[in-house]
Amino acid sequence: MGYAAARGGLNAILTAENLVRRLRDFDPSDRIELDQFTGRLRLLVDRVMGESGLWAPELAAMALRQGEGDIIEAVHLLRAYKSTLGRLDTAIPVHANDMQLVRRVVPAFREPGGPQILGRSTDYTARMLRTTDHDIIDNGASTSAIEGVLKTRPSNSRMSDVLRDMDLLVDRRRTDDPEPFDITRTPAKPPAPRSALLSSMARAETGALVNQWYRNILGPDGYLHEVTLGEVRHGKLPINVRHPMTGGSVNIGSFRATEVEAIEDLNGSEEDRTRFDVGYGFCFGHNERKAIAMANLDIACYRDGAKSGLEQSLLMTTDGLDSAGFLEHLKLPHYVTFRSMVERKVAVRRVADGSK
Amino acid sequence: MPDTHLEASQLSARFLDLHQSQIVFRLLLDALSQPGRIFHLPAQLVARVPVVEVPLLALLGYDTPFSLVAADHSREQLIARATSGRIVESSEAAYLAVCDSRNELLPMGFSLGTPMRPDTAAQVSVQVNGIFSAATASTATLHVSGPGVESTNHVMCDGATQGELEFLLRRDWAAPRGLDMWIIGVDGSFIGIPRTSRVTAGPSWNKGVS
Amino acid sequence: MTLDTASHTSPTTIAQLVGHRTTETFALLDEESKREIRRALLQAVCIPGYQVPFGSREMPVARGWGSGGLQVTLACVGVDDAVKVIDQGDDEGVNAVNLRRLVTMSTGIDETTEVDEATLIQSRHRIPEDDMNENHILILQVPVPEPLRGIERDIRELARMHAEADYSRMWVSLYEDKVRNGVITQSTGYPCLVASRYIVATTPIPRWDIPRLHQSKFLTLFGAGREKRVYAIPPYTDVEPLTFEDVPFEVESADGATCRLCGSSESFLVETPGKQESWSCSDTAWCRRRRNA
Repeated sequence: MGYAAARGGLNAILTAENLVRRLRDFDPSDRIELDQFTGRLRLLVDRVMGESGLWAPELAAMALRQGEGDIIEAVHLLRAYKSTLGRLDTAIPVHANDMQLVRRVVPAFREPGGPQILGRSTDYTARMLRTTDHDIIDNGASTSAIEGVLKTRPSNSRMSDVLRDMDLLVDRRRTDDPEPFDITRTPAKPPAPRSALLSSMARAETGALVNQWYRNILGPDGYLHEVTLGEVRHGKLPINVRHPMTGGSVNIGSFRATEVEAIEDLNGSEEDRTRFDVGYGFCFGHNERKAIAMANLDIACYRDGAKSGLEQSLLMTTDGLDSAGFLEHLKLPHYVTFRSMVERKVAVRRVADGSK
Repeated sequence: MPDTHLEASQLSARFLDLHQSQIVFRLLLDALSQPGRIFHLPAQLVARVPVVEVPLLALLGYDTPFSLVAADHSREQLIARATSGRIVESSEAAYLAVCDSRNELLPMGFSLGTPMRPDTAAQVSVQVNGIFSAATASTATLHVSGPGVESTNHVMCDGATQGELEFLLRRDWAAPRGLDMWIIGVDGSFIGIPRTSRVTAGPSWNKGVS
Repeated sequence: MTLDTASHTSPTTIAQLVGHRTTETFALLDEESKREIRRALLQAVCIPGYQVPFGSREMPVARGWGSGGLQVTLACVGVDDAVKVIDQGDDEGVNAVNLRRLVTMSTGIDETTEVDEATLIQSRHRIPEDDMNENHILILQVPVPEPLRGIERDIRELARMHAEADYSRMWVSLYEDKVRNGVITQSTGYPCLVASRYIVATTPIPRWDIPRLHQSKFLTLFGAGREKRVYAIPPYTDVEPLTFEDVPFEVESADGATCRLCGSSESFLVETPGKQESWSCSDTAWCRRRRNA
């Protein structure tokens, strides 16, 4: 009976758990401290927070350590932990312009208004693997210069506003203020409001979004073209809540996010071909490829107008836990279903033989 | 000062702890899955809050839209404070407690759901002036059949009038749309009638007589 | 903390601001989550067979591994319950053990392998052979809650088909199956019409178990955690497997095989392949009791 031996199920589980713990926690190397994750593997921590939908760098570090570096495992630990926590309040909305920038690039213009900050990015570094112990490079940048670069700056201009002033942007701004769709409380299915699509993508698995984008560019059933990016930003935003007694706004913390605006060239027969449109991407932490894919897919979904299955693909197939969990459930025992399938094959064969 | 004190004790009485809300939920679930079978709300809760409010106090969560019909607005606010539910117009409520079983909105004036989303129909707790029991005679009787019932459940409600029950059970909908009801007697005895039930209010049915 | 004292001072801590939410956890989930699942279940029992969407929470078991069934169990469970959990009919299946200990460890309730001692029975892919009644709630784990998935992919069209009870394409596909293969080849999770209204996915339970759902004495709840839906079949409700008047519904045949342990031919048997075929009951607790009787 394989691993479902009579009375042995609990023993099998305990043995497996002990094995995981021993090999993970008693490896000959030094135990990894949490600040080594947040300090030296920051992009990994940011990615896990983004895919969990939970801003908690230390908890993400714990989850990565417990999950031995498996991102899906870490995300599962964080989201399951979140399920045990009560929800206290909803933050007051902040404007994206309140972001204190550490990085901003604007591919669409050479001299956009407001700062262009290359910031901390490997985009233009040479990808040469450093195989010696001397991987700590001091290329002479002084501490004050570094601090200057890392200092956050407010943004005072964004590309969509510039384009709007130039009357080059289709105006899709709403005048009402609907409540955002909460995907953690209500499952989103097409047709869904844009807030459902954006929050699903904000929490989606990075690879899933990148693949959805690329597949729609080059795949056999895709039809997207690439956007021009208007904004790629990374910085800090405040978390403000309403004081229960005074009603005033109280700052209780901050978080980092990546924000992207994608400028789309409208060329459809029923579109305004004298203007552009904008897609929006946003996620926790520093994760540019995810936010760029998201912005492109946001405008693509709008332009698609429910003609294809793109909205369904984005809403329902990009969550890391859903996809990995369902895939790996195939490892569970399926001998009852298999037995039933064998029985049907025999039945079909009998009919076929009988009719010869 | 005295008002605050009164309100505070009324408020604190309406907080159900997690075990009480689970017990009440199971009773409400059983009542709707076995329509017409008589159940009893926990005596401790019956002694402490108006019985018609108990389902809402057990089920409402943050922002769940609800309405208390035919009662003081201050009672509605107490329920909101105790559960974090959101007070809305009765036509938009997911849960309602109706204190007067003769209220003209019953049963058709509340949300009956839509063909795409029948689960947006309202579930309603209604107070009647009687006691549900397996007595041999009573002032009012219901005959319930449909999903959850093996053949027919005959339910006696002593103290309620036949007219009161008939009024309550006028129904003009096509399932899966419709209203689900918990009909609660003054002593906390109650029955569940989901929208799929077929109900007639018959003349008093004497158990001893065939 | 609970506010059962009469005093009502100004809140000075976040816990007090939050009000009645207690810091005590019972059954893994916080109170809000449990209430949300319960509200969905109450709708489900009033609309037999309709898939009620709910805010499915992430659980310590992965999506696709019973997170939905677990949430239903956790929303229902109370201190006086006793839980039985099986997978493929086996209480000792590794995943069943894991799910069962999650329930018992977070509630302190009794666990059992015997149906007549249980009040909540969570199961993957089987209905226990023993009779159940109104004292039981059967909670089935659902991998794919959509019975029409094989004939339609578009979510919007699926919603319309259920809303309008437009199941014609399902019937056509069964007919084509029968014509092409000589039999209807649906193996487990046979589509059934519930209360003459909604077609449901009966989860991958074998056809053997389907008749147990029809006019049952017990309530059956279905939890699909990954797809975020619950549905229900109340007791004494019609559950009709879809078939044609001249094509009787067929349960699995074992060609007269019997269980090598207890000798039964009246239970669902699974085979151990090999030079000599060997069959045994999938329901291990039922088989063991029969042997010890």
